Amino acid sequence: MQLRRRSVQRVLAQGRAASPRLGVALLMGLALAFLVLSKVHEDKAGILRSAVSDLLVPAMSALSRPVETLNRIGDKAGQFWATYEENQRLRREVARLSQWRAAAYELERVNAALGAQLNIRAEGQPAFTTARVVADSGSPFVRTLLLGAGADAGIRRLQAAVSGEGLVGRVAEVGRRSSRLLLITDLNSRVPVLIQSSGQRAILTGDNSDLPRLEFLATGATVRSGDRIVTSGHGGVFPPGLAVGVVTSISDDGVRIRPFVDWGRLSHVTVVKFTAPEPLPPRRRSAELGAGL
Amino acid sequence: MNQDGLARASFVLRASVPALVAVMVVIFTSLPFAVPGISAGGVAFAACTVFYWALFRPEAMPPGAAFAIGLVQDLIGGGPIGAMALTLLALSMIVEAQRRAFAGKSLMLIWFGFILIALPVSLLFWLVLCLYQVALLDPRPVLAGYVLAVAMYPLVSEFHTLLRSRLLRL
Repeated sequence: MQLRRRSVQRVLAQGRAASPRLGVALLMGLALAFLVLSKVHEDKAGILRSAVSDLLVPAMSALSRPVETLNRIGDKAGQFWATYEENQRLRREVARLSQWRAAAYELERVNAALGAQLNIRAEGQPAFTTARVVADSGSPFVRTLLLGAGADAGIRRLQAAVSGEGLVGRVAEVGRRSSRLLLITDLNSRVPVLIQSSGQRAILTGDNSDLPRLEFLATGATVRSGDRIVTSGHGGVFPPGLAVGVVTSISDDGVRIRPFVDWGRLSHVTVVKFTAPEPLPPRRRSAELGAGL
Repeated sequence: MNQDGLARASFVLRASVPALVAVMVVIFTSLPFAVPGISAGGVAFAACTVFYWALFRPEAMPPGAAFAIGLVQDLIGGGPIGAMALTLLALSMIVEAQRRAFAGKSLMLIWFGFILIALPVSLLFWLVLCLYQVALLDPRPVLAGYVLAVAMYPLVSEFHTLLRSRLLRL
């Protein structure tokens, strides 16, 4: 009896001495499990992250308001320094844009007339939600933003997000009260775009730098520095015609685009509820073709 | 509650402050300030905090606390879940294993120790991210974070020394 009790005590004592190591090993295993699971089941990882951000977002949203005020004060202070130059620049810009506005009105009129002649069905204006940016990305390897609105506000995965300047990215994860955007500069971002002047298609590929690349351009395609890039709408994720950026450099490194969006000044984004037009069901199509022949 | 229970409860409360401070700094620096890279400062602060407390008072920074701080950073920051958790856990483990070597040494020597230990830990973080993204990522941002943490360490150490002696009495 005595012997058994002592041996049990010895085993327990050994267990207790080893338990910190065991605890650490368990935690390591847990971290590795998280990594592997979030890689294999990216949608489940998204749910976990959304659950946590749903908890934190109300507080962070409240905190981000004074931060936004601070940013604006800093901005105004900076503006006072350069007021005269800024004024001159804005005057020139207004003069230039007034010319464009007149051209735009004329084009709109001609477009409407031609559309009426051809009996084109107008695409409806998509609905949208505007949300506050609550947190930046915490890592240099992941370009994301956390928004203070989620499924409750009508935001869904894959919806495009824009700012006043241009395309920001798309919704990657959605919680009830928060959502996470994948920016166009992120390594995993691929946006079907076209060069507005020539209509040539390409894919805007992020690489975690500030200047994403244009890839899959047709060979022999002409690109010039300063060309405007807009979304093409192919793939059905991004609505067509959204301003993305300008071509800034063409070299062996690739064609680099500078996005229109000012990342440092993003306080709110607009999430666009766009649904791509549905493809025709195959059977009806062939029947129609047959009837036409 | 008897004296013993109160003393124990008081200890637990005080010992959880360092980890809570680190978590709050991580959350606060992820807010959208117009200053780019401020969240890297938050991570650097968390790393210095884990190093300091794992060295001087491991009861206040058990492996689970380091893990939790890293996990909060992963969940808010949008990076792979578990990457920073694993990194800070590794940091706390290495520090606790080397505690005896650091016993009674000056701030300069401890700083030097931080410089030595934080480098492989930063590279571990970079490696985990490369494996996760299945791509060779640019190590420069991670190295920049390492340099930032090294530069911050003396200040953070002073802050925690004050916290430990004046406020927490740990």
